[in-house]
Amino acid sequence: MTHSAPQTGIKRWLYTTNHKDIGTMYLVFSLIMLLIGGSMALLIRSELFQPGLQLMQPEFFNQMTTLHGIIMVFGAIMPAFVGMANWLIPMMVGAPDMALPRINNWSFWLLPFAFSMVLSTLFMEGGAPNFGWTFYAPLSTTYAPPSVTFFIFSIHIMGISSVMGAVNVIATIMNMRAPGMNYMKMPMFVWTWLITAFLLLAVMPVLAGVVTMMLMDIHFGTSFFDAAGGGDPVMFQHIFWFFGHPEVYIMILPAFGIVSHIIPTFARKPLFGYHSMVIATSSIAFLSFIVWAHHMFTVGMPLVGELFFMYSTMLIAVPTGVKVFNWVATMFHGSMTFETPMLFSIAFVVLFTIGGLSGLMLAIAPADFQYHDTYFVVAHFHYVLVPGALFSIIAGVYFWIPKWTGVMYNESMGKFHFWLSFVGVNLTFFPMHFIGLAGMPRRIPDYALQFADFNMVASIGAFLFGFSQLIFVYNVIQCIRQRGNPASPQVWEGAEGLEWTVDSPAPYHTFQTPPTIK
Amino acid sequence: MMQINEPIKNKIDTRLLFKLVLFPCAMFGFGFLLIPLYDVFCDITGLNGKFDLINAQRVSAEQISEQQVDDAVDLISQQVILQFTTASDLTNIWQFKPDVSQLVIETGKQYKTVFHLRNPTGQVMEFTSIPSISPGLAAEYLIKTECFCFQKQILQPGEEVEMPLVFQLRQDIPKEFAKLTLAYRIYAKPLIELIN
Repeated sequence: MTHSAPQTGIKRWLYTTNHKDIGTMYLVFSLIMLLIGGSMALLIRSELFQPGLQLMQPEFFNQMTTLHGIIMVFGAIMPAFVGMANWLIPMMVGAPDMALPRINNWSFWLLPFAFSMVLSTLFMEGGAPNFGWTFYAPLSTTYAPPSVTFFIFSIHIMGISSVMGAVNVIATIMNMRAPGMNYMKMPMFVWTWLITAFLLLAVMPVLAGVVTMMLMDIHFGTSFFDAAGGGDPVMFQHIFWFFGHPEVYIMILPAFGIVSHIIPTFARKPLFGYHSMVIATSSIAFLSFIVWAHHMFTVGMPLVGELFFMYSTMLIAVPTGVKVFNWVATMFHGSMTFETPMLFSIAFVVLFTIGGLSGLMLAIAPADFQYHDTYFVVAHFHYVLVPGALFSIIAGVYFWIPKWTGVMYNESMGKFHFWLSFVGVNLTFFPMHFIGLAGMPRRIPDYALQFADFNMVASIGAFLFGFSQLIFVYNVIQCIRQRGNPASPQVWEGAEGLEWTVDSPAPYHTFQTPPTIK
Repeated sequence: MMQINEPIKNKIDTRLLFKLVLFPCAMFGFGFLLIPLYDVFCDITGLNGKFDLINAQRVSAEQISEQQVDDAVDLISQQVILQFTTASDLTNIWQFKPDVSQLVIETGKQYKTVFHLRNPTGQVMEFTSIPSISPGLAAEYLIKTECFCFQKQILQPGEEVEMPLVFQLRQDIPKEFAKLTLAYRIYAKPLIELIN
């Protein structure tokens, strides 16, 4: 095996098979997508700042909500986790690289093309997709703009990229662990990613299937979702959510992993209940396959169905609760310090729990008839995705960036970023609970006057949150430009794991000789 | 530095890779398999107001009368109100009406009614009619021996057709279904568009 130094210039990034380079590209890509999707969110919030139509037509508003959702889910959160997996999993299991380096390169380079295609629909005749990120048929088939075909193909490309990424992660974890690292010695981030990868393998093809059916309905005269030909639009929702519910755990399980590294480090105690964490993660993954119809309580399911999906959904609170209590127990009696990654992780535990509890409220089928398609749902899933998934990613970047760049980030700027984000996120999404319970429907550009005050608060919070991310961007760029104090290999006093045994910044090639695990 | 271990690439298990590739392919197929699976599930449970035509034809009149003899002891025919409603696709130009808007029927007896459809447009139209029964759980008790549902038909401009429906209600229909609605919705498109 030859280990050359990186090539120079653009070729390094185009041809690289190095897991660290590819990880960096994934992370930079997802940061760009976060800023694009975030700008769309700010456009949405500025339209909703006041009742009435001020800035945009409803058609464009719908395109913004659709693209914001698609870009944040498939372009920001998922690639960020894949980027972290690339950087960290080989170092955490003591492997020199990912198992399939060329496929790794390919699965990254598919993404810029997929998302250029999605974004190009904005400039097409008839506009970008406008049917919401869940693209329910027949909105996305019979009544869709012509650009839907580009949307379908880009979903196909993203799906291929995710599946290849998942295959790579599984092959790496199963084949390339250092001698002596058995499954129950693997770090939590590796465990959560292993389970996430299996979820990806199971459901991304179903998503590919459902968009293929849409494609056939639109262009080849089939009637999968068209009642006129004997099809059924509700079928779309069933198949979509069979993908969609595991998908939401794909976006949160790696976050659980990241937080399970950061909290023990800054509490200076080993993770409480490692085994129960592994079991809880696996149970959540299993349960995610049997709860999908809780997204569609109002489509007219029989009572038995409503009850089944209600109880199975509530069951998920048990393993999730186990995890939350484990994190709290890890902090209990620890010698805690509150560096930026820890602040984001504690905020994750608290705010994700709020999102989980509003999820439990939504799981109650009779109550869901009131909450369905209101801002309460928007508040719920933003609480689990923004202070949940996104905060964990930010925490992870602050935590590992000294290892990646060899430079400590600016701590006071990081803390400032945290407090602005924390206040901003709550200011944005907490009022949405109230306007949702009061009955404001989601995905509308205009609303009744009684919702005006809370919407104004939410919009102010959104701008605060959005612009405070520029501090993060600046902090990261400063690290990349090597402006800051050099970091030691250990970086954090309480950090444990193989990635902290190599130099900072991590050399281009690590663990060419597998380390020994005691 | 000496390499102690074998080059790591040889350690990749190709059988594992094969399985990891096969699994998503199978799941892609499973996505499509969900469609017949849901249909079977709805047929068995009678959910979604769907009823299986093949099944309905197999349970023909003879079999029902045999069943009647068997269960004659505890089955008395009851009266059920059956309403007919019609609707058309979004164009709303179709003239589609049931002959009678409702029938009081006795279970176990065969009835016939007629629906009228006229093509008011100047184009040759192809249409399909989709039935739905509510409450959905009663769908399995309504047996249609002759029906125009799901069939693609062609109507010339201004042409009018009568579409017959022959049906009966099974005698074991639970008492709570005292009033049923059979709704037909037609979906039509010009034939020219299809050729293009």
